[in-house]
Amino acid sequence: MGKKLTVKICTGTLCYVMGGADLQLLDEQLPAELLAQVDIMGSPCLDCCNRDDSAQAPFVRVGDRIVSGATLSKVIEVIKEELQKQ
Amino acid sequence: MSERGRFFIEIASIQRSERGQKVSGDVCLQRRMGDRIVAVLSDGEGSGVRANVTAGVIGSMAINYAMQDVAAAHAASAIIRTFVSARNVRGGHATFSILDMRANGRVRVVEFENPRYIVLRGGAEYIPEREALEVEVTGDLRQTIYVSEFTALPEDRLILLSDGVTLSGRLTRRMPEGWQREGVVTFCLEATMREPTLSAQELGRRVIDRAEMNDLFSPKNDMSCVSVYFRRPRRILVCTGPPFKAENDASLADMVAHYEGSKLICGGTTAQIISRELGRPVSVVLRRDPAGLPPTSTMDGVDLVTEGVLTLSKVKSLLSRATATEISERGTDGEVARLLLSHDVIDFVVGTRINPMHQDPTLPVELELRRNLVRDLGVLLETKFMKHVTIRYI
Repeated sequence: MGKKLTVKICTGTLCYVMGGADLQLLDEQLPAELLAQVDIMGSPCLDCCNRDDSAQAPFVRVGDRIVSGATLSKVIEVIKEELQKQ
Repeated sequence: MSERGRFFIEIASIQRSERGQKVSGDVCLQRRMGDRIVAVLSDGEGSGVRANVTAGVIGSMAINYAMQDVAAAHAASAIIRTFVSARNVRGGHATFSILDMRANGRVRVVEFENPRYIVLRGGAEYIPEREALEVEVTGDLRQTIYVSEFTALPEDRLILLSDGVTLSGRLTRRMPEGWQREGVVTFCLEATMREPTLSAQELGRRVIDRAEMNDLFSPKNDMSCVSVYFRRPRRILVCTGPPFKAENDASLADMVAHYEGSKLICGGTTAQIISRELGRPVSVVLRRDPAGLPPTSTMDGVDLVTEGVLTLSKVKSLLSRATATEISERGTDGEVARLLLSHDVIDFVVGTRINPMHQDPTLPVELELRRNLVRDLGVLLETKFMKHVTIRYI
């Protein structure tokens, strides 16, 4: 079995107020077969909101890919895509 | 401030209301002025709101007289004339104790009918001499107040009680006469013998918990304990906010690495910077916080890592609401508040770099400016909780 896919949820101030609070429930919402293939972690700050582009908080990093304007369903979709690539 | 004196004066007040009453008829007030702390424990007549208002007025009168250096006897007689002249038939009336302490150790106590204050020194009770003064209330009615003075030594403890504590347990089979002052003395001596560095807060809490237990967990009277501990200061470093210039990142991390005392980091970016500079990983504890705040993290050598402005803002409102030094909130705000209150010297290091995105007017909540937040918090900790606070901006 290959290495697990790392999912890092930003818990910084901005991400948290922009809806990141709900993302912490990811492990409860993720279907069991996906959950077995990922490592869900938090990050004090992914340092994405400091960058001067128009991307929106909250941010989640799935593998090497940054998901902006993250919602539970969006993150789950990206996890599926990234797992398929592996 | 107190650091200029011989020791830090830790002071805590713990209270429980009589069963069925939402507010306590006892009031504990304390104020710090330079190197001096004045504290009052007043017990209003009866219980509930009426007693609370009387006790509150007595407390503020006592503090204001003391601040203006009015002679203790004069201040006490003014208070007694205001509140005791209409002594009711049952004989119950307002009582109070005023505690005036300096950082050089000089302590003066004025008492009117509260249980006599307790001083513990070197594992035994120390009883300072006290002088009785007659106060003329009206024509033939006279009341007696007691004034005493002594010099505190390092590790001394001082305790004020309301009669709800000394009378607790009365009419139970175990202690028909109640706990009594002697019972409290023995209890405190045993507690400090077992744990010599027990904080004033914790000792006061244990006294009140025991008094509540004596009344079989249904307090028959308002219970208050003001607990004082003269000791070497306990320090905590609070780092919040990234430094304005990135070249100061290293010196921020250096402060964390070399500070002698506890350490608290409030801020995600701040934590990342310190983690990177010191090469110590920071890991987030993903869990739901009862206060609805972002999760905390752990880092080697740091007592607690939290998010920044949301958390500090909640801590500020919690501390401004608090009526005693006992914080029972279970969320991160409560955790931070308890951590801060368990120290005497609080050194804030505030990074002033601003994240422009925090100023976006479309954000669902208003994010306070860190600098203002810490300044308010500092004032609160200093004036309401008698802490020695320093704030340094980087």
